[in-house]
Amino acid sequence: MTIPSIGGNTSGNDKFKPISSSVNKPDEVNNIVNNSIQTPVQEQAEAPDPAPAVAPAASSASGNVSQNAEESILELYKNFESILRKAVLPELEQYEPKRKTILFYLRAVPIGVFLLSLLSILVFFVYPNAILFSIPVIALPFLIFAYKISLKIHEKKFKKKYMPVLMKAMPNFNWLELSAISIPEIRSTRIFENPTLSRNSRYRSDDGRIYYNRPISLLSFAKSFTPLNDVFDDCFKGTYRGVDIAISEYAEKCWVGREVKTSGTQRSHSFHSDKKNMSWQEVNIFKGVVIRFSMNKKFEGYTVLRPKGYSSAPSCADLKHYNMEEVVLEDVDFNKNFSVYSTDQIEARYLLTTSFMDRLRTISLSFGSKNRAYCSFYDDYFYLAIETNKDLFKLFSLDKPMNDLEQYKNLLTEITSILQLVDLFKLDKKLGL
Amino acid sequence: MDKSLLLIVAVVAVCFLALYSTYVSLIQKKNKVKEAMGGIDVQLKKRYDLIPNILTIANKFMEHERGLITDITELRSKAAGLKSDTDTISQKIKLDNEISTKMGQLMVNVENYPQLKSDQTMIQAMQTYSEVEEHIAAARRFYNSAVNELNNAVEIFPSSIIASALAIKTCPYFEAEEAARKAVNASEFFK
Repeated sequence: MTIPSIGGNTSGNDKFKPISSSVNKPDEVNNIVNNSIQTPVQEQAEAPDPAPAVAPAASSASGNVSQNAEESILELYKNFESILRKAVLPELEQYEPKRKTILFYLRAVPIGVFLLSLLSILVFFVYPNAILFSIPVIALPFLIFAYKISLKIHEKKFKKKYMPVLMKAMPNFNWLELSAISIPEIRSTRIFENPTLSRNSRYRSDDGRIYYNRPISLLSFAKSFTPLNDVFDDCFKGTYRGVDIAISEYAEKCWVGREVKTSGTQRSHSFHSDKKNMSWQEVNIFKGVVIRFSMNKKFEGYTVLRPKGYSSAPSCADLKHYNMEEVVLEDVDFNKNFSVYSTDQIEARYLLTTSFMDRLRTISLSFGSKNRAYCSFYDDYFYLAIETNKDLFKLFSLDKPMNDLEQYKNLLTEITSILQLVDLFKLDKKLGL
Repeated sequence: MDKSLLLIVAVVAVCFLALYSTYVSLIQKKNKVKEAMGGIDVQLKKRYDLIPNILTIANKFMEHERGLITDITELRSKAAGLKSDTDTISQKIKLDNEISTKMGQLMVNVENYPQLKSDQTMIQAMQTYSEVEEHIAAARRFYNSAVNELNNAVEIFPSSIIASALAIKTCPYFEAEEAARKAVNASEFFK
């Protein structure tokens, strides 16, 4: 069975083919983790054709996933490559000269203004009253901002046009411009730490007094209406093997305020502290991908899993505010890697069977030491959040050739890795998990 | 006040607090086990409610399994009348293991009756049974976890002294019998 490679990348070959390895073999998992934390992918570079390349791997898979699952993925790869080569690449190749021209001007203008700024600074030292020469210095940040926006606009424009075409390779699966999972929904899963509720949050100082947290970021809210939206990025929604899946690239942020101390006076501390003496900074609580899977199991409460065992691990103190209890499971290794909290001890164990814990730990290992996994079971859905700290599903970047196959391969690898989680967790099965 | 008297008062207060917190912890653990027992009862009741339905359907087809069906019915009647408590939990665990074993045998024997195997009502009943079994397994795991915490507290010094003074005893774990270790998965029979 395939090890997910979310956050990883593929390299080498121009052929599109599924990645494959056995998830049930601890040695292979260890090798993957040790050799390449960011790229837990076993490429089969010497295979002459994508179809035979995966067949032996599928037959040697340890029986975790049915042949059907491998065939679905293989078909998806074939369809994707076919659509890409027939319907997308020919049109994009025509656009390539125009892209180069746009990129040239977009880069040339800020570079020109930067050089002009340097010149202006020199002139300013000679003629301090020549205010006109300061204009390039002022204009430079705006031009850099405009450059970044242009890249995003370009990416969005082409994604809007070509993603629906590419997604035809995956029946019942769509790319969305708007988020597939809303912010209130993500917050309601309790999957991420709510620093305002945790006294021992990592965003507070040791004495718990200096830092304050604001749950809503006005800047993020304003950004969400612009191409610089960094709360949600690419989103997908659809069905795979009977399981409803929603995928959202998501960043959970909060504002952290540090009090600027005035000499000799002891200040009172409250959440609504005087903003004049606070220096505020926006920090990422999470940046990665949130995936929602429908489940065959019915449950009523909340069960939340957060990673632990490292210095900047999220706190679970906020969960106690919701009357959630810690669940101590039998698997010692699992307990070292995850904090589990639930509103119902029996339900938590019903959801987290020993085999499910084993799979989750294996998958968490394959993500690597930097890519942490968060989980939540809520409202008959299983939410999985993977902290990748990088931009996933990146396509049609203005600074890359439009016919660069690497970006399409990465996109496909990232999507199929998520789809294969359904097979790994056996979410399509009615019983067991 | 004399300093030595203050010291004595402080030492007594610390000892009292330590004793009290140990006492609270023991009672909490004991109650947790009770809660877990209650959880098992709730889940087992679901099984006891379902068994008659399965047996009624099985009765129509499985003429050669009358003995097995009668055994299950008797065991079910005994177990359903027994409420989980610290005194009765051992008996309850024994009865439950026996029911599990017999139900496992029944599921295996269903294989020999193609008509029954393809009966939609039976398929649905068996799937529900499997789901109930999963809930029971979860409740057992919770019980064992609670018992583990209580037993550690009861057996490890110094809380063992308070436990014996309060007559708090260790509880038995829910362990699968040898026959039940090979779990029967109903879904395997209805592909």
